[in-house]
Amino acid sequence: MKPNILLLCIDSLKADSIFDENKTSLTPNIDFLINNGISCRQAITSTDYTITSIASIFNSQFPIDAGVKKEKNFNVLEKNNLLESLRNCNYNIYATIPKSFFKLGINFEFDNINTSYEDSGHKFYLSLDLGEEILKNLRSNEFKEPWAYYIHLNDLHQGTNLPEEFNEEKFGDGMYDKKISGIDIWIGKILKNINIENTIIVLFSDHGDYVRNISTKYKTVNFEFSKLRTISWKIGKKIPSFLEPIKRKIDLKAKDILFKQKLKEIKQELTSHEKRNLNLQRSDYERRLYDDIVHIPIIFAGHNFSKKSIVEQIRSIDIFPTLTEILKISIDQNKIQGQSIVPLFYGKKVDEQPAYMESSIYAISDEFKEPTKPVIGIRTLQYKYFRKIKDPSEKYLFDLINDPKEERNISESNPDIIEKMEKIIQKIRDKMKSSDSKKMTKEETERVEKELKKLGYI
Amino acid sequence: MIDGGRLDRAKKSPIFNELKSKSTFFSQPITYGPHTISAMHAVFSGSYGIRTGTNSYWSTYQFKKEKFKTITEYLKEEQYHTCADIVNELVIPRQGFDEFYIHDEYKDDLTQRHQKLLHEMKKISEEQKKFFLYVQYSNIHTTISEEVLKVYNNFSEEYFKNKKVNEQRYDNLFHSAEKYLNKILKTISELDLFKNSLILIMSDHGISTGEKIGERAYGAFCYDYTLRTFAYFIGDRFISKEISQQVRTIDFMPTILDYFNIPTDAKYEKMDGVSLLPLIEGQSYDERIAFSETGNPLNGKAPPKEPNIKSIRTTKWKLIINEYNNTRELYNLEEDPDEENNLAEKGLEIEQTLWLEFLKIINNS
Repeated sequence: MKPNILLLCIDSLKADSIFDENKTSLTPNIDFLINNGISCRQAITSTDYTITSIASIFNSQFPIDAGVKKEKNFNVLEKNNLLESLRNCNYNIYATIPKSFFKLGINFEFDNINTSYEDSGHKFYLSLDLGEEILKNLRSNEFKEPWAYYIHLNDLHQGTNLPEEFNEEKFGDGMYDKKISGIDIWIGKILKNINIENTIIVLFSDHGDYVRNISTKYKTVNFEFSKLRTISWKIGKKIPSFLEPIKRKIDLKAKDILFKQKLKEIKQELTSHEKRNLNLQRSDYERRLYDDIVHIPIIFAGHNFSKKSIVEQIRSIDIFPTLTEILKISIDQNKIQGQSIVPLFYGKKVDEQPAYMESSIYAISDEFKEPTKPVIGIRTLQYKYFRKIKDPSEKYLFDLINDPKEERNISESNPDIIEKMEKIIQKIRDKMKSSDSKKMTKEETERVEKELKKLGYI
Repeated sequence: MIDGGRLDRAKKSPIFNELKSKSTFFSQPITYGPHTISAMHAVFSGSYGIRTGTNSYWSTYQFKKEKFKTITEYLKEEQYHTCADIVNELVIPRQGFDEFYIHDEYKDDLTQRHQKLLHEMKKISEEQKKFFLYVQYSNIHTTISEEVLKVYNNFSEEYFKNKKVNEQRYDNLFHSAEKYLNKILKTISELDLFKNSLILIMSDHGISTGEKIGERAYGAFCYDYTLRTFAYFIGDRFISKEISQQVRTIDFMPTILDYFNIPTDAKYEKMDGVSLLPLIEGQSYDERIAFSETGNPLNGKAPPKEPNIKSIRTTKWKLIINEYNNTRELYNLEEDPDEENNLAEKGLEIEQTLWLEFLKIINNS
């Protein structure tokens, strides 16, 4: 009998928030998955933006010009995406995802009726109706086996509130960690309502985030979401889009002033990584591809999996071919860019593939009159490289082994490494472009060949 | 369009120099592709083939017509009657043409044929209609094809040892092109078609006479003897002057649109080229980088499907990136116009600057 598949995406979840020994969140259920499954400790997402990331995962393709605006009713999912491949093998495909996803390009006909939830209010929806809705789906007769159920939880997203029930020290040091604890409780409830032995659970994230809270033995600094920010965010939402460039300028200036003021109040020395986390926002005008954003967790659990940690670098685009290998589904390997990591489950070697990354639509859209600053980059286990697309002189190179917090930019003194990384970027983009361009038919090729012979070129 | 017209010959030609006195002469337009197919698709779309899809001998049918609008389509929408006479269906984008003729390069007398077309266009203009006529003088190409392309390969000792013969051959061909041009210009004058017209006389690329072993004609390398072309714009707003700073042939289309106040269509991709009218009219104008690329067949019998040599150029410097063997070439074009002294990897800052410009173009494509 085919196993069911639970695709559980926790938006904005960072890898170290659940894998780090010193984490402060309370996650017995996620820990259960780690202890009974395969945890990928060095998984890298393709982008900092949800829709592009999800498309990248389900298509097993790197984004190119991530999320450049297309016409209405466009679909970010390719014809032979993961969900379609599962459907072709008689899986029933269900979803509980934010309503906005359909407008933003996730156009897939799921088999359940209530596929979405209203997500415009930035709330901890699990504690409202969402959690119970998911459990109801799992208990109901509507879900026919074998099923694949995609759940996308926005409860950890920047700006969501923290329910009072989780606002205790035991749930974590800051708001981010406390919310993870709250989500973990619901993961526990979900696990109780499925047959774990007959379900492949894939827990993953679309991207990470900057966490505005430092809590160590020696320092405690918390810049997390304040009431003032909530109010200014609500006001910002009401500003018409043609004033967006002015709004961004004011926002940047205000943030800069506030941050400098707050830093003055702190009597402690902060590292550049700490300052970065306190100051930056994922949706900032200036994008970066630090590990805080691109280093995500991926866990394969349930079914027949035993505990294993994979420390080799893998990419989120590898999820699709890995699942299809586990399920023995054949797919057209020419249409995907990921590779199956099943050999790593058994301790075999797999060639490390570089992770290509791009920042998102809101950094390259022409809607914003200001010059925008998107970045592209490559990550290997040893190095992280990224640079501005429009101004390649602004570049960043980090030695991830000796500088895992990415605090020392060594780009100026390592032009040869940069050259290697640029060649990798070019190779990947050339391959993407050639698969994007219209392929010649046999008749066209023959016709061209005939004409080129006439012209004397062949 | 004089297929294979070399700039150095145009500069020495009395016919072209007379033309210069009636036109704005560009003596440094750089083609995107040193062969007709990619060169002219770039001219017709105002954009590099790296974006439009036509970046090689093979990729006429890969032109992204839903994303890039051609000058012909723009003019057609402005009620122009559009007509082309060319050597082969692959050489320009067909969309927008009312009449699209392919001449027999071996049998047809191009002078008579194009004079006849001019007469037909005259009749159309007498019916109060506007017209766009594109004619290709392909005779230089035809003889080079017969006497060089089909006889030698890119490394034939016999060819490269006889540079004088090659030059004489080319001079004879260019002389025929001058005679053709002279007659065409005379016909235009007789028909009174200089009035109220924009006339562009240009070349798509140059042709080797044996300057570099590895290229017997064109399309294998990105050196200036093939990249550097000529262009003469005749019209009411084009005063007699020479513009010697670098421009790109992709700039011609936006210039024509600007001349006729035709707005660009926002439903299509933005062009890479920019209007040269400000430069022509003496306003401030920043030199733009010229990007070119081609596919060197190396030891193969046919050009490759994708380019493997790229070039980034300014008036003073050129960086060539040989992707097929991972080498680079850097030339100071002012001091070394024959591109003989390779300054790459000698730590010159300009190399890094041009490399970054190359990355911008590649990654913005």
